[in-house]
Amino acid sequence: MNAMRAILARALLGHLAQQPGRALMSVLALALGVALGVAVSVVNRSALDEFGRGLRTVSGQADLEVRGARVGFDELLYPQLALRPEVEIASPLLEIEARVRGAAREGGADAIKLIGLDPLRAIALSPALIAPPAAPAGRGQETAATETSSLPDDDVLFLSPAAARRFAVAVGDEIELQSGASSARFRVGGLLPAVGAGQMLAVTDIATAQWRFERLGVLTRIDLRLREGVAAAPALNEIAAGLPPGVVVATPAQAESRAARLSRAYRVNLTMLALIALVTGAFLVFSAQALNVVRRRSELALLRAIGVTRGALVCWLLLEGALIGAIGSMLGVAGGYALAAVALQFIGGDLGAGYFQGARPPLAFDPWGTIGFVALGIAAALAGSALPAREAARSDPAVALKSGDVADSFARLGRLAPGLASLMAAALVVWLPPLGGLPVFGYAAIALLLVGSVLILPRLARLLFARLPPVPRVVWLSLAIEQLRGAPHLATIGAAGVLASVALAGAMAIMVGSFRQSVDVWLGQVLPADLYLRAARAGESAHFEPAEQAAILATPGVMRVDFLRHQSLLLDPALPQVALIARPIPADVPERALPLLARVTVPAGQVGVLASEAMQDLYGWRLGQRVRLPLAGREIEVVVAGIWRDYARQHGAVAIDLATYRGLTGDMRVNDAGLWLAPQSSTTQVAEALRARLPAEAI
Amino acid sequence: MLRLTALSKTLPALAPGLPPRQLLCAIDLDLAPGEYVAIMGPSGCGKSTLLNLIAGLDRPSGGQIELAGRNLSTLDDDGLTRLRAAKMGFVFQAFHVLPHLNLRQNVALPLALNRIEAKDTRVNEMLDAVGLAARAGSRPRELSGGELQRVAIARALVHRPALVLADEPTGNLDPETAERVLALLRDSIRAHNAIGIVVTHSRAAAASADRVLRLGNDGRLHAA
Repeated sequence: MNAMRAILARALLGHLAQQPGRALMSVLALALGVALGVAVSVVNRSALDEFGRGLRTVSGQADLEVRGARVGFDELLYPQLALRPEVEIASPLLEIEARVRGAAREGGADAIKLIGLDPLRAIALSPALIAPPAAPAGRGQETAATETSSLPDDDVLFLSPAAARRFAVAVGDEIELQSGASSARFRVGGLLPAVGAGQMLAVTDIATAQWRFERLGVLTRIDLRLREGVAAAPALNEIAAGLPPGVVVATPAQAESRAARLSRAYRVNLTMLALIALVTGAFLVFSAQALNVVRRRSELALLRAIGVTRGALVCWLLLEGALIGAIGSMLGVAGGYALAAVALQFIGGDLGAGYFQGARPPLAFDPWGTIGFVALGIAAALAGSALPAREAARSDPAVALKSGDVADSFARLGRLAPGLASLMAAALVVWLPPLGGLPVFGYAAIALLLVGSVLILPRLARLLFARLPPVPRVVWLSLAIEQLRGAPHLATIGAAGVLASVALAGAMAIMVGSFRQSVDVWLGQVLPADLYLRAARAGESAHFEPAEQAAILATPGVMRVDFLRHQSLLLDPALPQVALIARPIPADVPERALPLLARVTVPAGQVGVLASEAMQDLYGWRLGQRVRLPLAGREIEVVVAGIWRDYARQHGAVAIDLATYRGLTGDMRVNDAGLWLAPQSSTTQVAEALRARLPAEAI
Repeated sequence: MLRLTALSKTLPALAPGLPPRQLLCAIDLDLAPGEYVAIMGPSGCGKSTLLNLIAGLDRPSGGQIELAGRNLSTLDDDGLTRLRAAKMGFVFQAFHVLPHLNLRQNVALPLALNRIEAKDTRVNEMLDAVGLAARAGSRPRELSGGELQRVAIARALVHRPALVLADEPTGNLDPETAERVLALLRDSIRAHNAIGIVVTHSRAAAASADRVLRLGNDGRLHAA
């Protein structure tokens, strides 16, 4: 029986082996789509796994975490929480985004997270962050190192193995960390073997961290373990009610979800690129299979005549498509994992987007993502094969066994109604709201637009070719035109794959081009100064103090300076932080400062802020609405005075006038400065002068 | 036993305003196993259409066809397909030998479709009968037209069908080869006690049949 099946399989699929080149393009297109999709999925899975491991390392056995914006909150909250009846253990933490001085800076390769903790508290909640007792040999080594180190005993930190490897330091070595204008040297007291392989972590005593990085009295997070029998949900609500503005409490799972959301839009867009390749693959499969059905018309008719049923023929042709899809998918999976490994090694877990800076997570197997893209690859091939299979089954074998009716193949493709219906559906679907925050219907509209365009192609081809004059002198051209006139639907088959790929490539080029143009215009509006100065990267802890601001203002060649203060606000524990930008904003003409889409006049005595479009979408803010912002440890009511377009911060941004911000918070520090130069001043000269006046590591 | 009763076929009008065309009209025909008939007639008279109706590849406008006690008009498309697979063999003018199968595999196809075991013996017998046993592993592109038609005859008879339908089987062959192929077809049909119907323009081809029928322009079948 198997031998019989083998003959049937060879009768229907044998042509693939005979002429593999025809199927190769389809296989490659599908492989490309699957490879891109799998790579994006695997890289993201690896990054999120690593991020999750990081979270669990820090708050492995905590039930709740209390977190503020990166700038932190008053440490007086710690005793309040620790004394709550439902809390068994509270562990205070100070997390500082730092960089290792002297390390290569490209791609955030010098970034490290310094965690200041109380070891007596953290050992219960974050045991992975506590170094194990040193072995005798290690102790001897450490002692020797201590004897040669000039550092006080307090200035000891412990490194994750990955960080020790990256920065080529061993136990007993010294390492200098910098955050903002502050830097401090530490002796490496040991390694943290329980910390995940890809994590760049350093741990020190919380008092040391606060002292060395000028964060005395500040915490960024408190991990809580609840007493036995206390339910997390009601405790969370009760604790949340007592927290100061800008500080939120969440479960560790919510924190992981926030991390996943951070890269979601970027990931979805990359996945859509992969799906575009898959759609192109589906059209190529359609072209290849349709031409294959036309070419093998008499073969398939013979099989129908000698006993292959319509259903069996459809199944075989779909199987043929599935086989192409499966081969393409398998190649794509292999390519995807290879691509992911290279991307993780050289670009990082965020594919260069900067969400998980410094992380180099190990490659993780992503079973569901892989299965999903293999299924999509096969589904794309099946979709491309479906119409040709149906056409083959519908064709009359008696007619097909006689030659000369090829032009009638796929004649139904010449009908206008399906194409118009598809285009109209695209026009309707595009207005549907997002699903789960994703523009699913937008993507569906693009697919429908593409399908509709392909389907109306025969009619357009008929109109076009009917108007072409005869070309009697050039026989081959004349024959070609007559062929297209007579069977425009066959032109559609040939053109479908090309049309799909060229249309999608063209659309991508137009989209990228127009986006770049828009961003150029936008940048000209939001960054109008001649020269920009930024305090050293490494989070918001990098800033210029008033004395440094005065030095910048007094720099020769500088005519005017606009200072900017960046903060982050945690408005919703389930969402990533929102950027707060304090910059000079003229009250009467705010559009001079930012690209406003709409604005209202702020009532006298009220504080106006400008919200980015993302704030509308994510938080439902509306023009003129009164909202409360956590600023300087209290909630301040402000009015949404305008909506502006922000291409830089997808998780939302709120802009406030710098003077107003300073009046409300008393915070006189800034992170950036926009410099307008005096006539005849050169940017090079001014930049040199600034470097001379400011600490080299601070800009 | 093949029985055609008052069989008719009307084609739709070629253009608006023109009447439909009565291609076949009240055809009655009984054929017993072992009978081999030739159907002749001018081009366009409906010979191939008649063959298609008998094969269940087309539906009649009226009348009925019975093969081995089965009324074809009661069968759906899948039923007709299965009947063709089990009871019919085909030989075409254009051979229609699958190019990516070797001769043995081409001949074995009807056995595979009917899930008949012991295929090697039958295939070898048929290839031997048509004189191609030595070339069983060859590809169709290595064969001449006459050899291809012999493969088609072997394929048409390997599953021992009750009815063999041949549409211009010698149309693409030179006279000498055509004569050999016709003799083979006739002998094979007789050897298998099948009913054979050959549609042809060729008098030589018709001469090899037990009985010759002529399909006239009136759509009726007459004895020649």
